[in-house]
Formats: sequence, structure tokens, C-alpha cells
Amino acid sequence: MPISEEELHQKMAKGLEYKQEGAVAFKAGKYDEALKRYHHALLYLRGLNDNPLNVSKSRDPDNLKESDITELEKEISTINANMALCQLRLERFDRIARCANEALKANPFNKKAKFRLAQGLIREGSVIKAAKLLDELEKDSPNDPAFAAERRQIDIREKQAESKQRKEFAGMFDRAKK
Amino acid sequence: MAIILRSSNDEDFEVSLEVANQSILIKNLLDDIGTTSDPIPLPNVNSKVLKKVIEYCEHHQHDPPIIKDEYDDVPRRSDDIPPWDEQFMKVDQEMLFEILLASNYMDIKPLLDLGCKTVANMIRGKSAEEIRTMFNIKNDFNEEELAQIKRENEWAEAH
Amino acid sequence: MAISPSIPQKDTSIRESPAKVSAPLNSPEDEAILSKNSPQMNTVTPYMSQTPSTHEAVLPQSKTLRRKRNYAEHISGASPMDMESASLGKYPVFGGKCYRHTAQVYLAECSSTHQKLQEALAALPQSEQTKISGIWRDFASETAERRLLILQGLVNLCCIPQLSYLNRVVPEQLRVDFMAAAPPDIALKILSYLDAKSLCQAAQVSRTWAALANDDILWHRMCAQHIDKVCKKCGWGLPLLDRTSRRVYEATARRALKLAANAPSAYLPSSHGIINGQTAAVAAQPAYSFVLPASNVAIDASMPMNYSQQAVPYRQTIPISSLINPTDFSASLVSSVCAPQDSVQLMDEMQGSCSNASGKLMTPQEAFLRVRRTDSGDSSDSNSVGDGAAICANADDPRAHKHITNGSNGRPRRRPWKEIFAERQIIANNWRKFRYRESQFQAHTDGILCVQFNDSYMITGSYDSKLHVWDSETFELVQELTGHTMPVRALEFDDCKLFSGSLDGTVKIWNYRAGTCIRTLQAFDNGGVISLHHQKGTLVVGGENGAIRVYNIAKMTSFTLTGHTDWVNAVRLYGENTLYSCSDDMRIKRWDLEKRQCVRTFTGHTHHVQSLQLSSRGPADTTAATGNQLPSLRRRTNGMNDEDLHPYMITGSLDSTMRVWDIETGECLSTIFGHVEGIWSMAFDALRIVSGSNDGTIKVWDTTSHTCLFTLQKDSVAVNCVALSDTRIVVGDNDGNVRVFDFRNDRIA
Repeated sequence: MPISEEELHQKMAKGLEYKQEGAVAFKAGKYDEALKRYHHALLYLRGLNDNPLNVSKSRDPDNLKESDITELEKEISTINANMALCQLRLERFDRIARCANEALKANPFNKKAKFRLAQGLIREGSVIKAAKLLDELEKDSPNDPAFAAERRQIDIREKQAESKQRKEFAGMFDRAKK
Repeated sequence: MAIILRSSNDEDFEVSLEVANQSILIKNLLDDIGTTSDPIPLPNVNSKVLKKVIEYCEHHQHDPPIIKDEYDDVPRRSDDIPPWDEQFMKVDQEMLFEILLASNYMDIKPLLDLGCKTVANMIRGKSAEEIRTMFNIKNDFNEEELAQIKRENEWAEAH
Repeated sequence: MAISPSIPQKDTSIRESPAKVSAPLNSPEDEAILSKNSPQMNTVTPYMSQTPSTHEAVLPQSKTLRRKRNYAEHISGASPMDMESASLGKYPVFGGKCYRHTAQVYLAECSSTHQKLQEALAALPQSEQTKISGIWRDFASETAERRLLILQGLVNLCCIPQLSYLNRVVPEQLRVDFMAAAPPDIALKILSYLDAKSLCQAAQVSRTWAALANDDILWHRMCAQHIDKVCKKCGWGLPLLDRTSRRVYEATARRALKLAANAPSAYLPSSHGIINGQTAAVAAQPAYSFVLPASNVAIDASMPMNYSQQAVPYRQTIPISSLINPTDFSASLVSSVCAPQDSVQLMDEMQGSCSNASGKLMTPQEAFLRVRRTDSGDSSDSNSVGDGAAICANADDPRAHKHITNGSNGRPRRRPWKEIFAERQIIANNWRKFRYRESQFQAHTDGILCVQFNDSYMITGSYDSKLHVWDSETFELVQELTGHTMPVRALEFDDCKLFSGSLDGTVKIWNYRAGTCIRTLQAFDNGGVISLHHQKGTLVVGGENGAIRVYNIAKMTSFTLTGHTDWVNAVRLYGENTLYSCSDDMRIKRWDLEKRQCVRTFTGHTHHVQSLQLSSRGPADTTAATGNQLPSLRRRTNGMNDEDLHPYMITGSLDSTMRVWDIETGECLSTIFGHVEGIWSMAFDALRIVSGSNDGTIKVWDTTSHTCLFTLQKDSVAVNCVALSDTRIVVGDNDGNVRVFDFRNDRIA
């Protein structure tokens, strides 16, 4: 049911308020608190429709332009991207990608969200996909030190995987020889 | 552990964790924050609809999770609605609409699918005029446009 | 003038007095009424301006809602809290707040309802008017909860007639235009459950509905579900129509011939026709330079060739790789219409397969759906050079889009998926109703023994030892190929070469466009060639004496397989190393080409097995390049379980039956009865099987259920050969006539 104007603005205001609080908590290093605030922000902002007659936007990925994304969607995307960062700090590696994907669903042009997704994928083990994302991101903003840092992460993990594999297979061939 | 859900008009509903977790929105929240006795505000769902949604979730709480990838080339069926669900959806259009929005908001995919299937079943097989009558829609085409659109869509008639 | 505490006062520029909004107020009570917290009232918002005449200052984002409100104001001629209305007996009308009051229908009917109510009111004495409009006004000013309370009280007071009235009127009003009210994602989700017919009806309901029901992604789904397969839900299957604009391609090739003939371009006389790697330097040519079909390009110096030596002028754009890998002539032709680096993509495309994003081979359907179809409605004169290239390339590859045809304004034109679906649905409908256009022409003076066709060419081989190349649209004779000394029993062609086998024991390789024979192979010394099949550089020839000869075209090596004891009527390559053959000895054999032996024999037929065809979703099948597609099929087990994807084989025999075999287990899955005389030839695709019989009947069957859909019979002349595409059936009979059954609508497909 389309809700009234004030209701819409009330809820948006409350949602953004929570978002602010989340940012404050994040800066203070209280990541759990921040997550809580962000979740509440989303509870208020989801399901609102600030563009009631935008019927023709069918989210055709080929034709979507950045100007098609509404303010609300951008906010939701930012919040989710921030949540992804919180998850990163809290080292909940399996959740980073989930939040980042939600962010991208709301706003596919959100570069930070893409970056978070890459970070999440690396830590989940999908380094190839992550590397691809980093390549795409670097095209738009080359020489960003953040990308280099993430690539180092990829290297670290690949080396870890390699040494693990070596340990597992060590002695196998020796046994065969015997 | 009981979870408290607070509707937009400040009515509280107590549900079990399993029921609450049917809503991915709430599940993610609880996963991240931990189960809490603080009521979870759902400002975009009023109590009438929330009640209905909870009823659905309680009935389906023991359903196995469906991990079905949605491929483009697999047709979506809407003739496979179980009887309880069908009865559950026998509501007026306004409630149906609210259920759609609420299940979208709370991210309860099976309920959203059910709602969409129900509406699709109302549309299927009907002529344009019948659809207009059913949903109280004004025909905002002029005569020419109407004739043209009819021509453009004629090919589908010979089925 | 208390402002409701629940409205946040964030905006300091908020006007403080909502009450000033409406027309001049007469009394403090009125102001009190005004200031009540009622979200329905559009006057009681802090954002409204002071100006009474317009309600302009709603929030900037919701221009549309504002418009609707103003419209409502406009038609009512009064604002909701117009105190004059009470005395004048006017009916208060809302602007849009809730769904009902923003709904189109409501707004459209608003004025007439309003009019009726005013008239009814005016018929009453003045005091009554005031009282009743006062009741309306009070109700209008209440909050949702209060209204509910009021209504509960009213319903309690109602008598049966009033309840009956409510019962009648309420359901009519209690309707929601889902498409307009719901977010587009949900609306599209609802529509995605609909079939094509319902979608098209939905598109006629209103503008909003049309915008959603015509959504491209929705129709892409529909295409994916129906094209080139049988939809599980509705049972329809639509033709792929993957023409790849061969006609355009052909037309451009023919134009190139003309151009080259006129222009003094780089002239490379082919002495001995040998071009080795060095001289075939890749020139940096513009993307659309043409190379003529390489009639006498001998690729490998070590390959002895006997062909007529003609100097053919052409411009060099053949990449070295295709010269070194000579097995597929199509590479050379393909590279003629695009830049060298694209030729690999095209080469794959011409072979009817290409890789999707994960590197796996795509089915033709997947390829089709990946890139938007481009339109080349009328083929021959379009400027869309290299149109065929567009179809299968990786959609992410910018080079692919380079080849998408340009519309008249030069910008790439992409057809909406709905159009594509509609086109195919019309054809599928024609098939279902068996509406076709029949053409017949005399192709040879004697019986036709083999036929094959694609979008551009149709080639027939006959008892008169000749092969005729026809334009498959106009049925004009393009070339007559003479050379065999005995009846031509088998033929197969792809985009640049034709193989023909004759009872004189030879196989000839022709450039059928130019009409020249490139090569002759003496396959058998002691008998004729009955059947042949070519795939990816391997040529298999079945002989009169039961022998099968397998050639590697590139290396020109061959070996012989023995096992059959009688005429080998059909041979089919399958995958990398398997061969299937059927024979007059009533057996079908499966051969392993590496081990060079027969690994399975299928028995069951009780007479000569004349024809054989395989289906699979497995190894890439290049017969797509020849125009007769073998798209993926689903195996039908006894339980009609469509999930199995095992490949299977259908054979036709003179015992009047066709049999369906599981090629893995060797089991005969089913026998198809229906014909009364022997079946000389059969062909099938995803949707239908066509069989031609000795008594002149042609039957069309459903591939999944094996039921006979239609029987065509003109006369009793034996039908020797049949060919099938997704739009046409072509048969050749024993009198030398070719009959074409065309299921396209007005020949536009």
C-alpha cells in the first residue's frame, strides 16, 4: 500500500539515523554495535518505495544506468557495504560476501561494494573470482593501494594452500617408489 | 528462545527461533547480533499482515530448505500449490497485496512465491477485459492504440 | 494548533501551522478539527505550505502523488476541509493518500460519483444536507483506527438491506491493481508464471500492464523455455531458426565474387594450387574484405590433388592457422568475411558449437540466447556483412558486437525477445495445425536418391549420375555437377564443400558453388558407394559389399572396417571415435574407430535397415553446419521421464517400422509402427520425425511420444529421401520430383 508522504519520510529519517549511529559505533571500533545499528537501519529502509511510478525500470542489466538507481537504493547499498566491512573486521569471513552481494543487488554501480565482495571472496577461498573483480575495479581506479593489499592477500592464501597441499602429498610418491 | 517481533502499530508477536528464521531478513539480523529478547521492529509490516505471515511461517517451519537454483530455461509452475497454502491465500486482494509486500520485505521466499503464483493464477487464461474487471483497472488506451496492441498480440491467440 | 508529536520536526523550515492550508476557517472548532492527528488528511503535514489555493508544497520527490492530489482537488472543487462544503452540502473528496484514492479507476470515476452524490444531497432539505455532509466530513477527517471504530458501530446498526448493499458494493471496490501498485520486481515475478497467451492478454490491459508484460527479460525466459526444446509445462516447442543468416552470408560471398571479378585486386594464380605457409602471409586487411570460396587452394603440399586449375582472383585474408589446418574448408571461407582474429570464433560458430563462459561447449540454443538476435529480415540486399558472426560469439566480447548488424541509422539494432518468440510461435503453430505451403519441381529426369538442404542451398543426387545444386528459396538451379558415371547414392555438404558418393565406387569432393570437382577418391574397387558421412575431417564411406572405409581427410589416410555382409545404407559418426552404421543385413553396428572394430551390434529389424540418425547432448555435432540440425533431445523412457539425457538413435527400415535404440545399452526402446510399406528414409529433430515410404506416404511423428501427427500422400511414387529443418520438410521421390513443405508464415522467418 503506498504510504503517506510523512510516513515515508519518517521512516527514511529513522533509518538514516540508525545508519549514522552505526557509523559512529564503527569509528569507535564497536563493530557488533555498528552491525546492530545497520540492521535496524535496514529494517526501516527496506520495503519503502521512493519512486512509485518508476514502472518501466525492469532492471535489465544491459540497459541499467547509474542514474536509474534511486537515493533509497543507494543508501541501502551503502549500508550493506558498511556491514560487509564490519564483518571483515569481525573476521566473519563467510558473511562478507553475503552483505556485499546485497549491496550490489541494490546498486550494481557501488564500487566499494564490489571491492568488499572481492575481499569476501578472497577470504572464502574463491581467489580467481576475486582476482577478476579486482581487475575490473582497477580499470576504473588504477594504482589504488587497496587493490595491491588485496592481491597480497591472494598471494598469501595461495601460498598457504600450496604448502598445505605439499604436506598432504608428501611421502605419497616415496611410498610409491617403495 | 522466543523472539519478539514488533509490528508497525506496535503490537508484539512472540515466535520461536525456527519460525523467525524463515525470514532471511530476521535470520541475518539474529546471526549477526545474536538472539535477543529485545523486540525486533518491523516498521513496514502492520499487525494484521504480520499475523498472517507468522501463521504461514509456523505452518512451514519444519519444511526442508529448498536449494533450487532458478535457471532461466526451467518453466515456473504455478499449478503445484498445496491445499493448505491455497486455503491460506483465500483472502481479499488487499490482504494478498500486503502479504506480497510483507514477504518481500521480510525476505520469505516461499511465501513470496506463493503470493505471486496466486496472483498469476488469477490472471491466467483471462482476456484483457476480464483482467480489468477483476482488478478494477482503467483502460487508458485510446481506440487506435487498443486496436494496434490487439494486432500486435494476435499471434498468441492461436494456441 | 497543536502539531502532532509523531511528526518529526527535522526540517527547520517547516511551516508551523498546518491549519492555514485550506480555505478560510470560520471557527476555532474547525481549526481544532483540522489539527487532529490524521495521516489521511493531506492538510495536516508540516511540509505543506501556507498558500491555501494550491497544495504545492508537498515533498519534491513525489511529484506524481502531488499531481494526483491536485487533480482530486481540482475535480472536487473543494479541499477536504473546506468548511463551506458543510454548509453548501458538498461531498468531501480526497486527494490520493491510500491506494484506493490514488487508483486510476477511482480518480476516473470520482467526478461522476461526486456528481451523483451532490445531486442526491441537493434533493434533500437544507438541514438534512448539512447533517449528512457533516457526517461525511467528520468521517473523512478521522484516523484509520477511528474510522474502523465508526464503521464497526455503523455495521452493528445496519439492517439487512444496508448490509446487503455493503456486500454488493464492497467487493467491487476492494480490488488492487497489482502491476501498478507493487514494486516492478514483484510484478515481473508474478508475470513470469504466465504462459504466452496470458501474457499477451495482460499486455492489452493498460499502459502499466503493457510496459511490464512486454518486458524483454520476461520474454527471454519464455524463449529459453520454449525454443529448441519441448516446454515441460505447456508442451510446446519452438524452432530455433538459427539461420545465422547464411543467406546473407551467401549473398555477400556471391557479391564478393562479382566484385573480385570486376576489380583488379591481388591476383594469385594458383599454379598447382599449392600455397605454403610463407606466401600466405596474413595481410592487415580491413574486416570486411572478401575472399572467394577457395576453389583450388591446396592446403597441404603433400596432398596430391587433381582438380582443374583455374586462376581465381582473391584478396588474401586467410590466417596461416587455417591454411595449416586444412581439414575444414569452412575456415577459409569464414575468414573471408571478417578480420583474421575473429575467424576462430566464426569457425567454431560455423561448426555449430561454441564455448560459453565456463568454457564448455554450448548447445545451439544456448548460443542463440546468449547474444541478441539481430534482424536480417530480407536477406540478399542487406548491408549486414558478417551477420552470421554475431550469433554465437561470447556476449562479453566487444568484437562480437562489432558484427551485429546495423540498422538504417548505423546503430546496432537488437530485436526484442517477444518478437523473436512470436515469430517462432507462428511457425510452431503452423506445424501444429499442419499449415504449409507446398512447392514441387522436377529436379532430375530420374529418381532422386539423396537430398540435403540449408537456408541457402538444396542439393540433390540422382539416378542420372548428376548432382544438382538449387537455391533453396527460389528453387533455381545454381549448378549442375557432372562427373559420376553411375547413380549418386549419397551426398553431404557443409558451408563450402560437398561430398558425393556414387555406385561407381568413387567419392567426389566438390566446390559446389563454383561447380568444380576438387577431388575424387576411389573408395571401393569392387562395388559402389552407398552412404557417406563427414565430420571434423573424418569421412566415412559405406559400400555395396559391406565394407566401410574411414578416411582422415587431412592426412589422406584410410582404413577399412568389415563386418556387414550387405549394402551399408547409412553411416554416422558420433563424437571423436565412434561410428554407427546400418545395413541390408538387418543389423546396426557400432564401431570404435581407435580400435577399428565393431563393439556392438543392434538386432531387431526384420528387413533392410535403410536410414539411421543419432541424437545427443554430448559431443559437438557439426551436422548443424549442414543445415539439418541435431539439437539436444531428451530421451523418453517408459515412464516419460524427461530428465534423462541419454543419447539415442532412430533407424528406419524396409520392414515398415522405425526403431528407437539406446546406444549405450543396445536396447531397442521402442518400435514405431504406422507405415504399410518399407521406409526408405527418415530424419528427426527435437520435435518431430519425418519418414518417407515406398508407397509414397510421408509421415510426421512427434519425437517424444512417437505418435503419428500427420500423413501426407500425393501419389504412389516411392519417396526415396527426406530432409527436415525446423521450418521445412523436403522429400525427393523416385520420379525425380522434389517436394518442399514450407511451414513459415509468408516465407518470412
